[in-house]
Amino acid sequence: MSSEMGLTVRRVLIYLVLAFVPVYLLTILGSDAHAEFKWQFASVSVMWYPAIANFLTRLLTKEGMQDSLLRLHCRGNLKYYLIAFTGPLLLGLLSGVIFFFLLAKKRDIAASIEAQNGIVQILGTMLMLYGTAMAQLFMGFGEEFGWRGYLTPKLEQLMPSPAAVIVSGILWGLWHAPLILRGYNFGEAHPYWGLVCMCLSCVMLSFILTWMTKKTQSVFPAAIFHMVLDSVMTWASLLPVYHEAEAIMEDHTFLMSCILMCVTPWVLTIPAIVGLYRKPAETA
Amino acid sequence: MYGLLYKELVTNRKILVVMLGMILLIHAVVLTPALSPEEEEAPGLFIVTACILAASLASFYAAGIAQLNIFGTDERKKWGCYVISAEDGIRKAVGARYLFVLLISVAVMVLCRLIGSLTTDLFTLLSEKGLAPEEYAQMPGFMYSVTLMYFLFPLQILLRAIDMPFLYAFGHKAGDRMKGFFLLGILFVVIVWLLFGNISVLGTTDDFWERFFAMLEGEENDWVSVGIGCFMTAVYPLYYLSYRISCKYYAKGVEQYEQ
Repeated sequence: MSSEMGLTVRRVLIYLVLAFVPVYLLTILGSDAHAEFKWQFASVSVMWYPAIANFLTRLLTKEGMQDSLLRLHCRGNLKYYLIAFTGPLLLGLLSGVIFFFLLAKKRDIAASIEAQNGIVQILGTMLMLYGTAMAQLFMGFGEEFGWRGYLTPKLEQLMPSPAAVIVSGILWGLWHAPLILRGYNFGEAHPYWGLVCMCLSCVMLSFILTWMTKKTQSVFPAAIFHMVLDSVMTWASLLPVYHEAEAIMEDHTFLMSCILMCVTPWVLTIPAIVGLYRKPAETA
Repeated sequence: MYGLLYKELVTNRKILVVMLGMILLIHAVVLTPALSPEEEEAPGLFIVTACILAASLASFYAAGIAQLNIFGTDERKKWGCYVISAEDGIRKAVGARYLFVLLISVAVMVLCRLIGSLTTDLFTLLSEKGLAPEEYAQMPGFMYSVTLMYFLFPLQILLRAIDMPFLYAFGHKAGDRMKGFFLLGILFVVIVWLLFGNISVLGTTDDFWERFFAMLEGEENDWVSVGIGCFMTAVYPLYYLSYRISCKYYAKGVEQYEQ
């Protein structure tokens, strides 16, 4: 192994220790058996540790801040920013359509709209969720600056890019393990399958987020996509079935989460994979 | 851009340190009485919740003062002429300032959330050990303050988006006066509306506060939620528009600098 490769391996290991250890400690000690946070500090700070790990690894290994992907690069890349804002909404609505046909006992869009106090209220809620996502962008940045801003490029120096994105996605999924095993996202009935599905979901999202990051040479579209995903996607998925959302969620938590996180993201993952690895057409 | 951001940080470090000190002091002053060892002397939950909200509001106010004070630190004709002469200098210098101001707001929000979360956990721990009233466990004040911050953050961005073109176009002191006249004009219009206009949308006094707290708890209605949602999302494009206006009037403002 060349010295450069050895240094990269060392950096990856240091990053993983700094990203995983505090989060595992905080989520194991700071949450209860149902994955609800007991410690407010844990719930507030947990998304920052990948970014902190990035900074500290660069500091400890004297790497400096080159290739940090911190510029916005909006010019010529507005379409990626647009996808970052609208992609999670699209995925959520698509999931909602699947829930509507697959799980809803009473397929009645009007009832769902009425349960949410009308179209105007739905529009208002959506705008407020987007506003909340923007106000919390530093949380999304906290994760993406670590995973897409540091780990994925480092892994790409050690293995082919598709493998690096997959490994990075699996590690990102395992980073959520203490919460997933206690029922976060996928419910308490299938903790281990939940973890498998989380890793699969993170791999798919990893392709989407890496595609955005590489095309713009910036972590900010990925950070926006991440926060909008966390704020808007689940709400959007329940829009068509709001009138019986509680009952459906109680009976089908695992299935709904699988559809939301492992099925519908393929709509964006496949174009992302094509966008990342399609060879440009040769000019004559 | 990084160099200019570094320059903002270095030239304004005293202002930032004072701002940080003020925020920590505000939270210490407001929350220390709640840590009274005697349960009978400890303030009620409502008062502690109100204090947490007031601390968040005061912290953002302190940040606002800091954001406006940074304009005076490099208001020199020599520096202004250098910026104008450098390639793309105006866009980069103004952009760095706008970014720095935004980062101050982000930093205050992060700090308030950190302090709020640590305080809530401390109160919970003390409550479980019998050193604080039981009702302090899992204090809701922190969650209310987080909701309030979702409103304060875009509000602060909007206020800076209004302020900064004035400060760039007329200089720090004159710009403050021009902005004051502009806001007085808006205030005059609002007062006329309150006195003579249709204010049924605000409801009665009791009704208004009931709806305000319902809004903090996430129970809004119809056009109020659309209005709030539009406000929370539209401030960012408005901030960018403000940046473009400031770039346009930067050179004019340099001519007005006193030194």
